[in-house]
Amino acid sequence: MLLEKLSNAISPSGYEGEVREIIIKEVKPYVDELFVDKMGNIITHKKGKGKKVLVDAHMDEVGFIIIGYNDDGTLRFASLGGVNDKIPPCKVLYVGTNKIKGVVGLKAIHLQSKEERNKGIGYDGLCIDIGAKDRLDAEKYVEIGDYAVFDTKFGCFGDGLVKGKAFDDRIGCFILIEALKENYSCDLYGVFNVQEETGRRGALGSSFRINPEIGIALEGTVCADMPNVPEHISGTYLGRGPAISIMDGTSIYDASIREEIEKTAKKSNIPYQNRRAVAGGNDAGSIQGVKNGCRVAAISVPCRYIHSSVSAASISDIENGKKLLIKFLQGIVKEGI
Amino acid sequence: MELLKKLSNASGVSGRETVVRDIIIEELKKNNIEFNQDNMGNVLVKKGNGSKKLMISAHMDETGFITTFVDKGFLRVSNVGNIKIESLDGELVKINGLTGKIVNIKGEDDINSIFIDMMTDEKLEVNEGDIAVLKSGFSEESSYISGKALVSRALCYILLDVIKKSDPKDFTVYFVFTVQNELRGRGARAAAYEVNPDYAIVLEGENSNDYPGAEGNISLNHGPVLRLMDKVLIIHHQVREIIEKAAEKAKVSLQKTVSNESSEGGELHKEVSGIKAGVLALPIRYKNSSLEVAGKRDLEDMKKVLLNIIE
Repeated sequence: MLLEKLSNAISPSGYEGEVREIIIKEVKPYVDELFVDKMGNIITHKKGKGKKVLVDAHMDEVGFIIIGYNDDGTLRFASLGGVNDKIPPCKVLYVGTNKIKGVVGLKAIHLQSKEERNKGIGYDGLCIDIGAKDRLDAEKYVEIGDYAVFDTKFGCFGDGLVKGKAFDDRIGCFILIEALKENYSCDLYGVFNVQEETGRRGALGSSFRINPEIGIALEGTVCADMPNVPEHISGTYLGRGPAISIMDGTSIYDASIREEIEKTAKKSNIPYQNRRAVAGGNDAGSIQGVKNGCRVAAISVPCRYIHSSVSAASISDIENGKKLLIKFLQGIVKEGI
Repeated sequence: MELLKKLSNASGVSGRETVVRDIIIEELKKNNIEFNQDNMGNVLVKKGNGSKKLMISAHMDETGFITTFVDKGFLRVSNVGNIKIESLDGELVKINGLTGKIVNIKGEDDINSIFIDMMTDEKLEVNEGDIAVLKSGFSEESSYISGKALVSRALCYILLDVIKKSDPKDFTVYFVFTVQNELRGRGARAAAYEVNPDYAIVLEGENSNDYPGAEGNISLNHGPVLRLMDKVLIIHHQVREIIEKAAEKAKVSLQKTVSNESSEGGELHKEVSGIKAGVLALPIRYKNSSLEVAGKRDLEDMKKVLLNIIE
């Protein structure tokens, strides 16, 4: 299954090679042009006579980078992208291209200071144990600058749900790959960007090159549909369909495109919800923020426990997200949208 | 002043500037002035044939609220742009033609602590994503004007008047009415890329501190404000000279300040290969509240300075 392959691939920000290879192989037969730009973004083009549309998904996932050794052979590390420092303790990581297993340790509760118990240990106090005898031994296996990601494996559970790592944004990649297999009359650029999680950097270069009239970001997004979170700050609900963004930290989304997407959903009987949260940001901000700008929209699939070691998503949301994007793109045939 | 009244009373929260833009476009058409509307929704007017390009911008948008959740007769919202949330309790808002009252029971500076009471138990015609704006009314006194969104609309009004009256000599002037100023100047950035001017003057509002208990040196009706520096821009010395020379010629005294505010000049001056930019501001009391106050003499003085820059 393609999503499984994408989710299990190890590609944190700045090290997107593995997932890039999978995507290139998958989409190449369906596009007129495909190349990798200087930043490492994949730019694909399906030529058309209509409006110039850029659809974006980012390849990178949040992860970690090794920044030093301790004398006992454990590794010091920092996050690549935003990972709450309460997440890594007691998780297993893959370190470096050789996928060396490492465990993030956490000292026992009775050894923690009052502050550590309340606030957590923080990255300064955490380390990765790869089983090395001492510093010299550790240096044989891991270099400073090596990356690390969670060892989480993709799987299905419950009633039509999937769990795994990197759903933000491999679900977006999956939807874009599937969408590129269809045909459209608009001039479509499918772009798989690098380094979204470290400040939406990849999208700047690719958008500058393409300079589209409409930009669509595909995302895995916040979903706090948990028992102790009031509905008005939950963002999205799992299973209620793809989420259409109204505003976030990097964009206020174009009302007319949003309306058009909603109309498409209603006409095709695709369930959808609004992303009722304005926190966070995505590549749409970068797409709009270069050259003379463009109108943007975002379609996302809700992911519970996003930016952690494991997220959960609904297969029907993913399928409906795919359907909604394809129908919307096929609808861009005339002026006005 | 009828035009300013219309502009001030119009709703035009960032990203939803259509109503304000339509008023501006109608005014331009009435005066047979050609214009362009770009991808972002900025309106651009080009005048003159000088060798150097000068861009003068005023923004169309104001701060407001976007609906994130509808709970029967109550709305949950997020702020669009920077708003002092703790001081909103009791303010009235307009949304889809309906009136609501903002309630911030705990007085906290957290948007999740406020809700809007729509004062009805019938089904609301309000959806997630709909925009609310502070409710207010424009009025004119002998030396002051008051109303909402003057920080945007008074400058649009000035710019419109300058467009109508000016006949550029040394510059090719691009007058730009920008969108999304309150969202870090996203509209102005795109326009600056398109125009790529030699000089840019951003028209803004400056907090006037001439009321009891306020600290600062800016007063209403004491002249336009030359911002030497703010949080995101240091004025370019050539732009400063252009403005100061024009003020002298127009016999208008300028107030000078180092401001703790931001403007679209921040994004704008970093575009393309860098743009020489500065901010000329209109003193405004109670900026970004439902009732801002500005001085009528300042409005006229600002027009005089701009006309002298152009001619």
